[in-house]
Amino acid sequence: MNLQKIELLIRKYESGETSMEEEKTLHDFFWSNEVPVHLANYKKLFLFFDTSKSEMLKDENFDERIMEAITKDGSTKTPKAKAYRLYAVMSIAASILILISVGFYFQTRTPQIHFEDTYDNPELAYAETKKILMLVSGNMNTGSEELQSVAELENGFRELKKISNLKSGMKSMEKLSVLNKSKNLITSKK
Amino acid sequence: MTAETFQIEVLPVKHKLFRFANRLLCNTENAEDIVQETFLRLWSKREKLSEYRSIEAFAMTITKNLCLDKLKSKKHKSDQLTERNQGTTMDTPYKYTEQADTFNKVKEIINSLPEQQRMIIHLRDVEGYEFEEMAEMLELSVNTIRVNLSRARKKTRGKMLKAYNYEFAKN
Repeated sequence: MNLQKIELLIRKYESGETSMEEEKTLHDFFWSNEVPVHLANYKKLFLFFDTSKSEMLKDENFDERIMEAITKDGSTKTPKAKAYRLYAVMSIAASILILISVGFYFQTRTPQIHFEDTYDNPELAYAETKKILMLVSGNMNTGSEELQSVAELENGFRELKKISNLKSGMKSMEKLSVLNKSKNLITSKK
Repeated sequence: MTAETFQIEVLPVKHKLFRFANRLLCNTENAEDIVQETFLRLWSKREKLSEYRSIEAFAMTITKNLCLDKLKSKKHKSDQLTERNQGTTMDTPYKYTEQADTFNKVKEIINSLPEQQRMIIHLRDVEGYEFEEMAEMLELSVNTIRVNLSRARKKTRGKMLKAYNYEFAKN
């Protein structure tokens, strides 16, 4: 290949004016072994372009995934709306059924809660109950009698209040310290 | 269109869509998600697919729009940062690390171009589409494509010169 022609093609290439055939000529030239050093960068560039073209989408399951997605969509396209409506009706019916059964359950369950008597003779039961209640109230009274001694404590506290007067007494005593001062004065003058 | 025809005629375009999405997003996982979404949208429009002159071009347009939406979303920006920190993954047939280095460096340069230029240079120089096809895919005029292709190619040359001259200086 004539090097002058290649250089002309490169200039055309950079102006965006080369045809596909002319570009093919350039690609072929740069794959050959006769590329001069000053065109080494173009060799790198054209080799990059051609190598890039062999890059592939690597995911092996890609086709399978797409086909699965579109066939699922395609086969149900027309019945889709009908099926959807059926689902809606069925879900509404199911909800109503659940509501009714829950309501029924609570309505029938409530009156079932009642206490069963454990006695046969009502008068005897009454007497027994009264006896137990009297016992409880009797014990309660003895307990509260004991508590009266706690009330005595209050009187004790009242007596203790007088101790607070001690403080004012102490204050008046402070005046005695003057005596001490005058004593010191006298001893130092000696 | 039946599922079978879809599988035979439409699905094989997945590699092209994936490369295009990956060029824009620089994230293989997100690119795969976008391609999947593209096919689901194509299938939902299967009744109208025969009206399009080229299903492939229509698929590319969907992928492009999904990618640009994704780029605008905030989540993508954080994804992209993490992927960049992980470094570029080796998924090329290059055998030697020196060649792999070169590949990754050029990739970095191409991916640093503005989105529109990146799409255009990819569709032309990697995938080999005609200007008319690209105009349909990108919803741009042939003239806009030609102008931006020229800009992208010149910018790439400049960046390559910068990257590899420094390398010469180092050696």
